[in-house]
Amino acid sequence: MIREKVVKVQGNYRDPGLIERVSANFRKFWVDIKWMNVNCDNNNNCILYLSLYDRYNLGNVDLSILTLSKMVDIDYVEIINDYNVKNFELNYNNSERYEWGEKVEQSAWQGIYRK
Amino acid sequence: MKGSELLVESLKREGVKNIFGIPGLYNMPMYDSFYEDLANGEMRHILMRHEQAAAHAADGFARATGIPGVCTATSGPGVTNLITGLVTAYQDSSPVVAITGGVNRASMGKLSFQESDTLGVSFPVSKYAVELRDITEIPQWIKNAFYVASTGRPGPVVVDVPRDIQMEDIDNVKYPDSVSVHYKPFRTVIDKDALRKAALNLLNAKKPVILVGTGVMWANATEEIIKLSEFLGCPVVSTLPGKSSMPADYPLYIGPMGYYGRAEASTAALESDVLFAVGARFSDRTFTSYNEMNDTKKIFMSINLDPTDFNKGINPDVAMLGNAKVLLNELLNVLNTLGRKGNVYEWTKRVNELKDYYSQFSHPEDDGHLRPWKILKTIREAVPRDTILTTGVGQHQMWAETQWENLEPRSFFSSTGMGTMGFGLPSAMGAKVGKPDKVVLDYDGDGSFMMTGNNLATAVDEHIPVIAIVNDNRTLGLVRQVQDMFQNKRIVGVDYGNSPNIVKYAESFGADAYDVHDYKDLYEFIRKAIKENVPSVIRVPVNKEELALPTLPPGGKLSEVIVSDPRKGSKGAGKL
Ligand SMILES: Cc1ncc(C[n+]2csc(CCOP(=O)(O)OP(=O)(O)O)c2C)c(N)n1
Ligand SMILES: [Mg+2]
Repeated sequence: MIREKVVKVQGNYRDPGLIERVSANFRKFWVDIKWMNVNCDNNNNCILYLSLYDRYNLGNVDLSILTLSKMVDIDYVEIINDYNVKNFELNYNNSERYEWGEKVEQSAWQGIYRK
Repeated sequence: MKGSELLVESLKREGVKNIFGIPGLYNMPMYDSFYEDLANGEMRHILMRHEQAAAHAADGFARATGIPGVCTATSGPGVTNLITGLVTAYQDSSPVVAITGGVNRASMGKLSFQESDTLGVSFPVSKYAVELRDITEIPQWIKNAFYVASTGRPGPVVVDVPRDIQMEDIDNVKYPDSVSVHYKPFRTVIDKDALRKAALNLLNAKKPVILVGTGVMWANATEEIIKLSEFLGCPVVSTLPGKSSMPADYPLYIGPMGYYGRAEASTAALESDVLFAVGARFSDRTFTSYNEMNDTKKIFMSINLDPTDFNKGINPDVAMLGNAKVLLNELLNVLNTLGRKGNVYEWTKRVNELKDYYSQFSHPEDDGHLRPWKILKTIREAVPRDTILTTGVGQHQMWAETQWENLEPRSFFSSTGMGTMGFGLPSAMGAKVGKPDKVVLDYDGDGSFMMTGNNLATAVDEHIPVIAIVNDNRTLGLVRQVQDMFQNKRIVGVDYGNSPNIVKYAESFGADAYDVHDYKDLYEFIRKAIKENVPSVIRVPVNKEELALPTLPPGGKLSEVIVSDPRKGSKGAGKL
């Protein structure tokens, strides 16, 4: 049995609950999400790519996909058979950090963690 | 027009007449807006004593009438109290619409008073949950909610309306003509090849069995099941909730199979060479071991609305997707054109043999206590044919499973998927509101009854004359029985003391209360309660040592069925 599958999900976006429900669907089946990439356009169409992993070898991946496909707001789920993922890349050089409800001054963390 | 008025008007446009609920700060604007509707009798509000009961009542209403039941709660504790009722409806595929009031939009996320993340707690227990963002969304989402709740596999839908949206004003209201939601009810596929294959399998079968689930009830397809069964001479078994699809006096109906089901029904299902499930998912309560079933190498066939059910444990050889009524009629047409009948003479003999054999176990003799099978027989004799019976969860529910004879479709309701204690009384009240002309009984256990029994106050105040028959065994009987039978008699945390006195408890609400001593009492008290037409509680003492049989060892196979009290020296194994 193939333990890792990459899927594309198209859903209707009302609020972030869409992503919550997609993740919860897999959580219930004990299917892990290794990574996820979500993009929503101005017409509330969301495309989610997820890499699903059957960590515990329970054989639930297919049923979890079918079950997701019958959820309100989900238009379709596509299993991608021939995927080839390069790093989803995000470039930046300015950010602010928060920890436990507080802003952490740049001087306190910059240069320590940031490469 | 205010948002809350728009909300009430939208509900009325969906045909809503009854709302079960409890008001609070956040759904109060809606209450204010149906003030006149209650006064002029256009709508009825039933003030429940706990939101769980409001959801169960809406659920009971839905199961009895076939149309969505409506409940309402305020944000925070109101919503969280609803949850058990919603998940119960979800598991048993019952259409409920819950209207909840939410905190003001500006307060959200700030741990404001009674904020409970309604969406967050509702998603996992409902078919859909939506939080409205804007007053203009109200009419469309109320329409959508009823559509989603009642189509496809029915289920509960939550519509959360923030209080400030209810308080806002709107001038030009547009009511939608159609639904608008990313959702498709399941399809019905008329697949000629599959139908022909199904027909031939049934005709060629030596030992066919039809397994009926609640899908048959929701599709109103009982008549078609009976036609099919008669045509083939084919015995019928059901799931536990599927009892509500079959009249118990249909001669070819053996009864419910499964964990606490009838041994003859489970055995017939095991021995069959073609098992044809209609509107029944192959749940782990019905087929307690998929290996055991798959090992029989029989042909599995299924008519089911939800295609994902074809992928759980059993993969049917012939899978027909869609509405049971439509597909059964198609199948009957094919069978008619094939123009021959099945040959099940030997099988009928075998099934009758099974029935005879197991009946000796299901009617144990008098032992100085009232026996559940005789209690249920007495109740049956005392009530009209179309009586509705609901249950709590426990031994009494299992006795109702094997011994209660519901004689019409849509007249037996129990929390079967969730197993929610406390379902009995409020669901009976909901059913009675939906079907006021029918006698509605709650056959309950003392533990279950005490979980929602406070709603007797509502039954009295609102004049909802249900009759609760409470099996008082002073224990959580079903749990006790598992400890007794399978945990070395280590009885722990289950037995009650003397509190409360159930008769006095009922009387304190103003209900009529009766204390039964023998079967004659029981019969007469039920007759009296029906005649008086007021909420009534009939206490029936039951021995806490009594077992709900048949049963299986925890995790057991159907073939491991235990049919007689092992403490009394097992007479005869479960097998014939
Ligand atoms: C809300 C809830 N809590 C706990 C359980 C576990 N449980 C299943 S049956 C049962 C005993 C029910 O007792 P009672 O209603 O008196 O019925 P009896 O078995 O005695 O007939 C319990 C505690 C449950 N099903 N539901
Ligand atoms: Mg009890």
